[in-house]
Amino acid sequence: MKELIRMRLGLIFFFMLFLFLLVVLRLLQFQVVEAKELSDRALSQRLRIDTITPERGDILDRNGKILAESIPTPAVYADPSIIKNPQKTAEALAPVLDMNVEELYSILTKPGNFVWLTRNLPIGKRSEIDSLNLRGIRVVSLPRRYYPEGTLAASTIGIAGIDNQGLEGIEVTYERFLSGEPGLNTVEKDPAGRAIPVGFNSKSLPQDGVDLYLTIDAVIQHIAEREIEKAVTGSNAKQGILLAMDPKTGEILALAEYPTFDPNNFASYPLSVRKNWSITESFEPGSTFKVFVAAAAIEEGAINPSTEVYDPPTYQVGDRVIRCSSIWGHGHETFLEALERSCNPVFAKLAAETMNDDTLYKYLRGFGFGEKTGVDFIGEASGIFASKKSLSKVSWANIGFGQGIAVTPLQLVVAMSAIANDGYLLEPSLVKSYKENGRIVNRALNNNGKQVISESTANTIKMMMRSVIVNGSGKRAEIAGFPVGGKTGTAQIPEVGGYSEDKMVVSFLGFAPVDDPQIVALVAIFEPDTDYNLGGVIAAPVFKEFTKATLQYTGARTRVQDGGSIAVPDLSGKARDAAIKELTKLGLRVNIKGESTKVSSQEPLPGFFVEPNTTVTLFCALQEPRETPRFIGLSLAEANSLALSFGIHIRTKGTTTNGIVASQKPAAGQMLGDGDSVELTFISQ
Amino acid sequence: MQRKGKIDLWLLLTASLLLFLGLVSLLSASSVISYQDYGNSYSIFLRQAIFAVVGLVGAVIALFFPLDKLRKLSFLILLIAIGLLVVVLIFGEDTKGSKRWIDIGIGTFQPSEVAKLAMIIFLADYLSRVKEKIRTIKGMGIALLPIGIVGVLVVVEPDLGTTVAVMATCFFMLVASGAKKSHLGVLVFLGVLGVIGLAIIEPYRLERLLTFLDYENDPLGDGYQLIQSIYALGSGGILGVGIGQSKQKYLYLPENHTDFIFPIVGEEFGFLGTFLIVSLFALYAWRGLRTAIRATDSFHRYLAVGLTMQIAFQAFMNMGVVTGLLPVTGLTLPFFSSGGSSLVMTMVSVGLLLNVSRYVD
Repeated sequence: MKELIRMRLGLIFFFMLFLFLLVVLRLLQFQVVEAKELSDRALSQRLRIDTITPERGDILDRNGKILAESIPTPAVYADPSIIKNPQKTAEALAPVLDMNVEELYSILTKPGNFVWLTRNLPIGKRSEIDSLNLRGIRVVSLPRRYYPEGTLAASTIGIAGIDNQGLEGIEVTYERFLSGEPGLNTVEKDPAGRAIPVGFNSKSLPQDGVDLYLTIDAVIQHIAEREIEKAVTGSNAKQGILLAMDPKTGEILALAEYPTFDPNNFASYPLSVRKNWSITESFEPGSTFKVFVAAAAIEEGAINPSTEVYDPPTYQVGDRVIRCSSIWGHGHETFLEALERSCNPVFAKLAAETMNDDTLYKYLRGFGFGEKTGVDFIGEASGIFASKKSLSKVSWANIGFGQGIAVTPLQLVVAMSAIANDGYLLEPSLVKSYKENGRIVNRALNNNGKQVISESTANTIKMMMRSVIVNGSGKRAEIAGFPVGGKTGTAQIPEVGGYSEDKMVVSFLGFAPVDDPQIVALVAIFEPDTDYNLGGVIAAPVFKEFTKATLQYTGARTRVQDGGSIAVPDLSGKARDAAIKELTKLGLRVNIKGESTKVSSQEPLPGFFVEPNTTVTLFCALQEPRETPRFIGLSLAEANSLALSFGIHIRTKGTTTNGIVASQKPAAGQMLGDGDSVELTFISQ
Repeated sequence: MQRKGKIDLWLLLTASLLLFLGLVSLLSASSVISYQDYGNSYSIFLRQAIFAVVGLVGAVIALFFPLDKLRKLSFLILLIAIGLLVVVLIFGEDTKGSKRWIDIGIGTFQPSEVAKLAMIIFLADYLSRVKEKIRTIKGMGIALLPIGIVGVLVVVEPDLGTTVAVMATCFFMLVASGAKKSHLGVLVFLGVLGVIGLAIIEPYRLERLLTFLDYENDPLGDGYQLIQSIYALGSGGILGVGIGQSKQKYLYLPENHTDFIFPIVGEEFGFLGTFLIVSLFALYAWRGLRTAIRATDSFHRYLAVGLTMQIAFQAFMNMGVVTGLLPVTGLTLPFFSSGGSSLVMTMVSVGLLLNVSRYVD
């Protein structure tokens, strides 16, 4: 028995030892073999990553006026789980929140412990809620997007949503800049969400959003909005656009659209009103487009302003009959007069017959039609400009006067700016600069400028457009003191199966002052309902009012001296004595510089309005006799540039300017006197 | 009466080390829950320290209490213990659905802890009397009667963990007494059957049993506590994160100052710490059973077996639960877990074992 007991006790000990060994093996498994994985899993369940919201950047105009900002706004939420008497709470709160009691009661009795009551409490009401001291009702501050200028530039600035994320316009285009980088707070927390004192804790501060400075000038924008609203309501139109650009930089100075909306209350406006029509929608431009067809033709030497053209009452291409606005047509006229009178048959023929399709296509593409301008705005449209293979003669005839092609208002303004900017096409921009770390940095633009047409062609087109104002359909755009160049447009709106009889878009595309364009602008009024739905009648005066006010605001050097009313005539190339006689007759004084008998240039330039007795300086530089260069074998464009480089005038003789120069007078090598010009005769090839 | 010898110094050293480590561990593990429940990080520790002093007094009394007098009182002690178990069922504090504690004004008191000791003393006395007759059905049957009564009273509290611990201790004493293998086999069979029966009666027990087998698929439900326990152990690695540096004690691991204190110790002191503690319990088992083998008096021998196995086996059960070897039962880790009755009775039984260790060859 004694031995049995000893043996049993030994057995118990070894059994116990075996059990402890099991525990040790288990500990080895968890604390040695699987330790790394288990501690990682334990850490990841304790780590909480909270984001710290950065402050969204402001949007300002080019002079620093705030157009969009984020301001702390009181927001009210409820914790229904701790509200003891929802009926009483609802009754007390309803009048402050401007809600009805039943609705509030049903919200306060929902399950859960968090529900927003309002995220936009008027600031003054905060203290009212605080003083009610209701259990389970809390007021917090949330950043909320606020647009202090209301409707100003609304369709450009766009909107940011309730969580401060960009939804439309610049707000979404520059979301990455405006939103900033959230900070991260990585903390080890207990299951109740309290930080563990000995735990891991790392905090990265949020990077606040960048402030953006627009190219838009709030004052010019305001002028534009005022004028376009007046025009749209005054003409019972459906919609209007006024888009203005600085042609030397491509900066958009104003982008006004009416009807407009208040971004502070954007949800109550339809998407069609919020949309930026100037950039994201295209239309058939009509006659304003003739300017670009003319520029291509002159650059190619296919025509020049003094070329005689024939304007028939109707012009037929295939099955399409194109009519001039005058039912008899204008008959024989110069190309300049055809632009002044906006003769459709002349331009249809120019595009369909005179010009080579590929060449015209190349120039129109060069002006940017059919592709995005690259403006910094999400959703830009490219317009509709079919590939050249699919364009028939009829299509080309239509394009000649601005039909069968759709362009965005922005494309028109950008192309016009290229002409105003000596032929260099610029990329348009809406954001000028941004503030980074307290420094204002200009936005880098790829604006070396692509030359579409030569400077001389650009100057020719500018003078032709000046003529449209002085002699043609754009008279109502003229501004005393700031000579305007421009072109009117009156186009039918295409509908299914043809063109609407009564729905028109009337427009004016122009620039001022002619000698040094500081502003290019497009006015387009859609579906006006008046007795005279014409671009020259409805759109041209809008351009005038807008541009006048804008140039006065920017302090442009006025060409008016003390409010004069005498237009300075164009005297260059005229005989000195005849010029003196003409000026004297107008009541102006003359100052002659130089000894030539012919006037080479003048100051002030033609078209400027001056008061009586203002002195006009005539530059009559005597030119040394020199040898006549050889023009034979050159195209018109080549001859033009050669003449330009020698500073001599050329005249063309005969019925055509296509092909190459066959003869010249005087002949190459003969001496050329002061004021003499060279006469060239062309033959077709 | 035998000659009084010296107490077993190894046993004293082992128990002292366990007590010291237990108090230090509790100081760290209880700080968070203590701050949350009492607003003071040291409240739970200080209460435990006070009980340690009470336990020390109890241990000294037990060390010098005449063992033959204790033997004479064994039946009376058992009756008192059974009485207290009945009282707790009637007047006990209802905590989380079970009645285990009696409020005695200065704190709560757990009768089942007294019953454990009473049962050991009574059974030691009985076994030393019946000697070989334990191999008869009658001898075994008489032994099983008080064991059954105590077992039933504890299990209806309900406190299955303590019941199993008491039963197991008594079983080891029966094994030591030389009972018949067939009888012991039947007892094991009945024990397993009893646990299964209880599990079927109370479905939550069955769930716990099944969860323990498949805890990883239930990380948010019943498996949560075990997963957090294993995370804590794993976070400690070999060397531990350092004293006071546990993160799992920040309310991830429930009951981290009582039943689940061992994983926190494992997180702060690593495998080196947990291995040391297991080793100390094993050492305690060895010195205690060595005392039993060398005891000259059979009452002393059975007393030594019971006192040793009560602490060693309960330590195994607790460590088995937190390492996922056993299903979750509410058992404390002797010397470590917060709880006055448990600490005092543990120290009293250490004192008693040291007392026995003086009477050996």
